[in-house]
Amino acid sequence: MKGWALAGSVGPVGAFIAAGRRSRDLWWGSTWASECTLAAASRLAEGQPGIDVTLILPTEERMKELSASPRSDRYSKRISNRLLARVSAGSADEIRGLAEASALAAQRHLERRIRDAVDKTGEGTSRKARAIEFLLDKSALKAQLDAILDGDFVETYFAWTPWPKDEAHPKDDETPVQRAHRLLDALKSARLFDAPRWSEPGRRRSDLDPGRDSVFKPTPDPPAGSRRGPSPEARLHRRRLGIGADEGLDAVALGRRLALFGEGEPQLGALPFPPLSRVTFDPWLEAAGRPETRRWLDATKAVLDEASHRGDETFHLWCSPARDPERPIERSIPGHGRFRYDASFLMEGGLAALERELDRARGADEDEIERAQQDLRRLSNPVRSLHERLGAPPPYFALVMMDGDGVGNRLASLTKADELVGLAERLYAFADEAETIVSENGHGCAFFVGGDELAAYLPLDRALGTLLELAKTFSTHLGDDGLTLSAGVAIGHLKADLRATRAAAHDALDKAKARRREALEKGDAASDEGWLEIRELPRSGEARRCTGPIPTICRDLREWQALLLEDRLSLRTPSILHELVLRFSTEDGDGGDLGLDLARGRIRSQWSRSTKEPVSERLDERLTSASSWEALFRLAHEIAIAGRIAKVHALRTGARGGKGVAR
Amino acid sequence: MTTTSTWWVEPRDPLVFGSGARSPALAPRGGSWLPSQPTMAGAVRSALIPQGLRVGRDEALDLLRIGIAGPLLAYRHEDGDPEIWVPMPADLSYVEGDGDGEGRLLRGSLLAPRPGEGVLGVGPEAPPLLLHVPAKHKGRKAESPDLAFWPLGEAVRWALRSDEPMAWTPPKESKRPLRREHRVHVKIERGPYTAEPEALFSTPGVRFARGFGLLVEVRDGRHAANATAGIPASGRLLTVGGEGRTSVLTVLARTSVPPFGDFEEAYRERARAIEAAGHRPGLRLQLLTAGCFGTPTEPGDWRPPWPQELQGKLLAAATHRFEPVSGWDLQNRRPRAVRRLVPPGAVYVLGPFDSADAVVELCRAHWMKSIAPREPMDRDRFLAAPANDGYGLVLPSPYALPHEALEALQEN
Repeated sequence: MKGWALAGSVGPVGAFIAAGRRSRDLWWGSTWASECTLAAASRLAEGQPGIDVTLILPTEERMKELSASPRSDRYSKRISNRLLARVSAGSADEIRGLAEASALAAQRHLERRIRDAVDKTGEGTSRKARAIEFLLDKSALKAQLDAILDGDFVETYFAWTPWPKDEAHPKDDETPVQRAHRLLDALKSARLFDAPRWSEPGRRRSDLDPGRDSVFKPTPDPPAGSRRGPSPEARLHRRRLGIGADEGLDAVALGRRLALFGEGEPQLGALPFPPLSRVTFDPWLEAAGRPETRRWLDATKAVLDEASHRGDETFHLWCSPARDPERPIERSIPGHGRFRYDASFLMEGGLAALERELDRARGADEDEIERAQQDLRRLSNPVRSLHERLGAPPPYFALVMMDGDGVGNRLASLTKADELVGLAERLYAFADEAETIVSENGHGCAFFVGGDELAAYLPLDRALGTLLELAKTFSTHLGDDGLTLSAGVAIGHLKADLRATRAAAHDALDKAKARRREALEKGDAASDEGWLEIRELPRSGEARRCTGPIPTICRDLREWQALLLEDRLSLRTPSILHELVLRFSTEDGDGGDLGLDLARGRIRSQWSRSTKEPVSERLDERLTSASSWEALFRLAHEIAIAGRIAKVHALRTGARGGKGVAR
Repeated sequence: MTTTSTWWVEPRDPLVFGSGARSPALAPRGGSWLPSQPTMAGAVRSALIPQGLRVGRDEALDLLRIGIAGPLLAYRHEDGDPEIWVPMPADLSYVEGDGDGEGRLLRGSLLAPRPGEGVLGVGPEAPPLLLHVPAKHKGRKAESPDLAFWPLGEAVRWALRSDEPMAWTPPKESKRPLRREHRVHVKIERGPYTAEPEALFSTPGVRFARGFGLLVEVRDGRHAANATAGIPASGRLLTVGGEGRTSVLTVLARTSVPPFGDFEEAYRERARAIEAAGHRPGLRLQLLTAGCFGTPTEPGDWRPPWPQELQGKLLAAATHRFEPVSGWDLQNRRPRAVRRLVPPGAVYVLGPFDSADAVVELCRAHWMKSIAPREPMDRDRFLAAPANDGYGLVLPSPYALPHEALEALQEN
């Protein structure tokens, strides 16, 4: 028998995760992507008569761990989409057969997951079952599920190359892993795609995947000139399933949306993760748990608990409960019980908007709507009282994407199987700790942690501390391998399109890694750290951004945050800097030394006038070292971003807050 | 009788193109910069409907006989001839220079699986050779360039060069021909006059820099009885894409596509150099507009309905991810089925061919022409033949096929 290196990847990760409008889309998308990789890896590990397989990525240890644990535990542990194995076989053709079986296992897994989610939601005579019956075109769903089995969605690529007998001294200048990855990369760009396996004229497109049809029944044309939109009945059924009034979903998108109802108690599913609104409002809820406002939070929670425990489906018309693993969050309200609910209704005008939405569905099931509206009316007093005392919850959150620097190269450079397995195990050790850091320390939700890749959403005020902790933990596990972890963060609005926020975080990560590479090439010591780019996406105006080594950016932002909260720095500073940049900088970014001196002088004198103290040491250092308008512009952005974070921090801690930062 | 004309379309506002998703849509990252083929063909056909004509089934089918080549991005200074800009090819990557220094463009190379090696992809069987696009250069990461287009002259220069990295610096953001814009919309609810829940959305727009516009060759092959509208007058407004954004139409006196003869000498020189270096001559086709190569008869079957002389010659390909397109069938009043398009910039390597001269003749035959099927028109779905919608326009060039790669092919 001869040896081969077999490299593979399971995707498309983008389509699984990027096409997400709600946190549940992201969460089940990444869960299913990981499960499909696991299914492919399991099939590989089984081998075939005459073929022995030693898995390297994921490691056999990891596979055993994931296969042994119940599903709820597995949710917090995921694997990346990369596969790597050492295979002993008689011929290369035998490997092709094994790779085909592995690809099919991934397709079958996804098909089964979608079918289970839809079937369980549609079981019996519940309201959700009626909603499925009303909305779903079963023939369309079947056709798309068949197409998945035919290779229309899950993209599995494999490449294999002989593994030299003397693994310490390969004959080629490439290691077998490098060679297999080179073939794999080239294969991915040779896509000879054909038409979708199933698409029909007359069907609307899926809103989450424009390359596929919606699996909903076509709705009759509205009367000419009508702007009414869907009928009350359709609206009600859609609300029951967590589908927007005007959304069209393909099979994969529908499966992700319904997975919630397909687990545990049928049709009464609870989210197995803290929803985005719950995480975003965590500082506000912590503030609401203080003695002076606790009674209103208790009253709010009592209505939610009662509606949730009633055991009917009405609650899902306006809210979703969440269950484990949201345990760290319950501790975020000291001395207070759990708040394990989707918190969107707490937004300014949130209750009124929900009532109006339910009004539109009147005529379909009056009893159910009346019951839901009664709940909403009972919430109105306590929520109003909380808003009067605390203001509406700040709607901004941090979407974090992290990725190890040079991990692929490091893996490819290793020639011995045990070295590769060792590195993979260190990556998994980091991933396990990372999930806990995000939930315990960050009060956030890591919806994807696979080896050196991480995607999570966090309350704004906890993001920096969590990033530092993650970078430190990565260094503990992989510092000796010379690896670092870089991050991209998008500060987005809860109601903005989640796809755009995710894309901004992804871009920010790419930029952070590129800047780190530049620093590395210049021999800059800062390249020893992972780098970070933060992009703030305000609802109006241009995005603000800052980039640098993680420790430096976090330290500076915290410094500006402290100065703002102490009222020693004001949000007028970035506005002055911005104004000066616009006035003096030229198209090539050079405003001359005189202009820069003038800008430095303005900021220093503004500081002295308002504080009667010398300028903060760090701010003075940054002003002095700023040798271009670009540097001053970045400083202005940093202070503005710190201002956004400081407001949330002040809310959580009860700090008074400086001018412009006060709630 | 077929009449031909060249249209210069200068957008007055950012243009909005559908992504295949229903509105409200969010532009996909890296989505189309130019209107899709059906969008442009539809705009041209609409402009040629005689005033007052009620378009019934027969008239609609006749309109599908109007064919376009393009749209191509072009730059026009005052009243001069437009200079064509084409998409950057998928078989190159870019590595940044030091600081403000010049960067480098790197060329993809053929990669032949060795004995004992193999690959398994998705969908149709991969071509026998692979095109590996460098992801690194001297330790630096190389990526697809941000800039989507460059002048035709640069593209030809790149296609005719040998394999060394080419010095290149992307233009600054402010000097780029196209820029994306997102406009945030709020759907206001009657009554409270506040935003409806989930009613905040954004639409993507593409802003054309001053002097840039779209160039379209129009062939009007309608039956004479219907073709009363003729060529529209210059200066009229044309609606291209969504949201009723307008462009100014100018009908040019002559075609703006440079003839193959302008480049023939350079092409011959390159083809001969390939032979002189001991390589077999091959053909490289770069798509300038999206490709629509029909539906396979069964899964895994991908035999593009290319012109006869190219059939069975495909050796390798480099393409980005597919772009879905659907559109609206006005006659049947329903959305069209999804088609998956090969994005502009895709590169196909074909061969081997008998001689350098044979390759040059193929380049002449396909110079800036469509390799998409010219027939048939789908009369039930009111779809023109792909070539008539402007799909599959190519920039051909000679390509060196190393003997080692072809030998490995034989061995496998």
